[in-house]
Amino acid sequence: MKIKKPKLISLLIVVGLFAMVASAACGGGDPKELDIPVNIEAGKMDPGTIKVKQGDMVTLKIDADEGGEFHLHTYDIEADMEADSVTDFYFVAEATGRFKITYHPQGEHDEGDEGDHNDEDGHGSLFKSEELAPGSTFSYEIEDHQAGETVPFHSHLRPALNGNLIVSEEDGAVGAVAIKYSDEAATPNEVHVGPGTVITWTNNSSVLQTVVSGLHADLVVDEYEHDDGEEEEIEIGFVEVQPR
Amino acid sequence: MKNLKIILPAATAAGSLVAWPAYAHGFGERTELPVPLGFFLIGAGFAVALSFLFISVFVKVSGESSYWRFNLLGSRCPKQILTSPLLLTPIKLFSVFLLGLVIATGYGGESESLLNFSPTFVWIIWWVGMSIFIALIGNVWALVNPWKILFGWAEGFYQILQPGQDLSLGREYPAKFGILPALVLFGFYTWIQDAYTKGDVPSQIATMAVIYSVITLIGMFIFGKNQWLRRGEAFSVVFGMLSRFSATEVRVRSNDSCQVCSVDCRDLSGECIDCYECFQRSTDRELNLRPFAIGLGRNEKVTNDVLALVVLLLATVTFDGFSATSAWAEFQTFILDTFGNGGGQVFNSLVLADTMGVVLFPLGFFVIYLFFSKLMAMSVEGEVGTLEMARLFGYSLIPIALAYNIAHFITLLLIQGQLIVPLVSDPFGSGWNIFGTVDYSTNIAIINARILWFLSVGLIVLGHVLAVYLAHRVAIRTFSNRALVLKSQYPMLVLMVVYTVISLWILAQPIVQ
Repeated sequence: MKIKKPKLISLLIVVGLFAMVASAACGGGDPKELDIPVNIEAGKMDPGTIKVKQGDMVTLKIDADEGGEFHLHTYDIEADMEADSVTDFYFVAEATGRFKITYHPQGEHDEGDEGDHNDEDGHGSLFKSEELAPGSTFSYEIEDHQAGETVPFHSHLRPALNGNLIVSEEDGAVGAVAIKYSDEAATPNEVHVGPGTVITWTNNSSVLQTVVSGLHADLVVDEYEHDDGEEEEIEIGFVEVQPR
Repeated sequence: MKNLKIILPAATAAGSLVAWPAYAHGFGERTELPVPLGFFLIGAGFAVALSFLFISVFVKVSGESSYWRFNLLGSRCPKQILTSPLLLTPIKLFSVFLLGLVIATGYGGESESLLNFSPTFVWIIWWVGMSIFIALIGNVWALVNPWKILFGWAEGFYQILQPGQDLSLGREYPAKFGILPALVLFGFYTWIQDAYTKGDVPSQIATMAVIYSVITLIGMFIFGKNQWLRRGEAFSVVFGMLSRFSATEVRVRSNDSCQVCSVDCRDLSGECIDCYECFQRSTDRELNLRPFAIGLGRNEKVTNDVLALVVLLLATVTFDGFSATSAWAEFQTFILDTFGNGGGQVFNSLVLADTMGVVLFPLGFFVIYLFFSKLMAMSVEGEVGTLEMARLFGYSLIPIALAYNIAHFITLLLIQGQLIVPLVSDPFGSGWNIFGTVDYSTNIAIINARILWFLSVGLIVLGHVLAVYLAHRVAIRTFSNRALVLKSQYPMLVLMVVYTVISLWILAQPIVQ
């Protein structure tokens, strides 16, 4: 008995070793250019897990039923998608791993407290400044058709600097309105303006800032935290990059 | 400012973590691929094969308490370097500074977790990184523990003001409580890590650090510094336990300094190892290199409270991984369906589910362990009782947990841990660039999945073998004859194989949350 056992086990180990070497050696092949169709419908992604191999140059052809932001985590690549049109999302799968994909539907994106809103005032869709050095300014003119809307804005480089432009024909200011960025906040952070008004942002903070229409992603999350309802950012799937 | 463009998407990612309450570990996004089935089977096969090979061939394990040691303080030059105040004082100052920085950035910095120093530092660098370092290299916590240092300084000042008097009240610590305060505090810490959804919020981290500082300093004030560090300071106790695996130990050879030690620090073989109180006082001290894991097999009396902590550690490590699998997600969904989505941000159904995990895993683990201890007790014909069996062999399971823990966290440490590079330049997230590293962008391809699979499976098999070896050592020391030693080890072997295979199985599961 004492002699038999080690024999059997050594055999097992040898088999195991062979299997290990075999499994380690498989794979290979050259990186490919891949086009992968991806469907997003009612907050569900198909396929749920996108599988590629390390080094592949991948273009996801995303067909979404709703506009929104598509975000590949850790690689940290984002793309804005429009409803009912195919968006190309390109990345080179350099890093192996399993990476989360999240999606902000645009509709829920900008549910403000007041005023009407439409899909246009999504992130950066109305205006988006260059990086403003301290002391620089950026201007935007309200258009006629925006009456009745609320346009959120923020500095993408510091989400705490944010506010709303409330556009109304009756009681909005006309002419020129100034908004100043400090290190802590945008003042005033809520302005009532009429169509034709030119709004000028001045960066009085100590660092670079931007002026972007729409809500910053962080604020969307903050809103979620307050109304403990459904998530604003939906986890819809994964990209798996297998080693070659 | 280019860096912010890189980090802000990451900030969005962090936002999603807040918005996704079913998030497993305290902080940080996991990205590892599941270990493929082939690796899993090979690992499991090796664990079984090596176990029986061990039992049938290498049964001549020595149960003696002495082992190979090399004293780093033995010769003059390294001794001068390793004990020099020029080296130690800056380290201590820096450690206290870091505690201050965690609190300051937590309250005063950017509220977004990824743009703030405290979450990355506390959860990834300190908790994950340092526990692995301590388990492998040695217990640096005894040196850098900021509360120990602060209290030591306060004692020093007090001595100057009131010579000959102690700062602490020096109340006698009730011996019956053992390490209960540390156990409770660590249990709570575990809950924050695995169930509490706001553990990555900087201000909450700062609050926890303040509360824990107050508890620790008061504990030291009432019972004396060393008493509290040994029984009440959760991290000293837990890191102390992990460091038993490590390749270094501190040892005091003469009995004199142990006479005045506030606890009975010598083990059953009369050795005073890893008692930092004696080490500090003694002139005849050693800082030894030793074989890995051997510190877990010392000849000592293990009490029930220590056994409880061992079980809590083993179960927690497993739960941290298990809670990211789809099996656990299904359980969460079940709880959600049963109790509804209600509750607040802090106490909702998902937190309830994870809380159940944090509580039930250690209990379940304990029941299973007791069952196997009972089998062992039966196999030695009543020479040792069930609970005593559990106490004797608890430590020997730690290498498996440790190996799994490293496999489980290495990706997080290597990838998310890199966030500390930009964060040290801008700890408050306020636009500073102190060391010019703000522009550093994370290298997410730092470790290849295939290497990781080999490493993970290899480590767990190695941990398993060390566990089998340790249990064997304990058995040889404990039981009267070789036949009983062998008989007692079969149930233990089965338990270890089960634990190892479960650990491997979790690694083979895709992380879903």
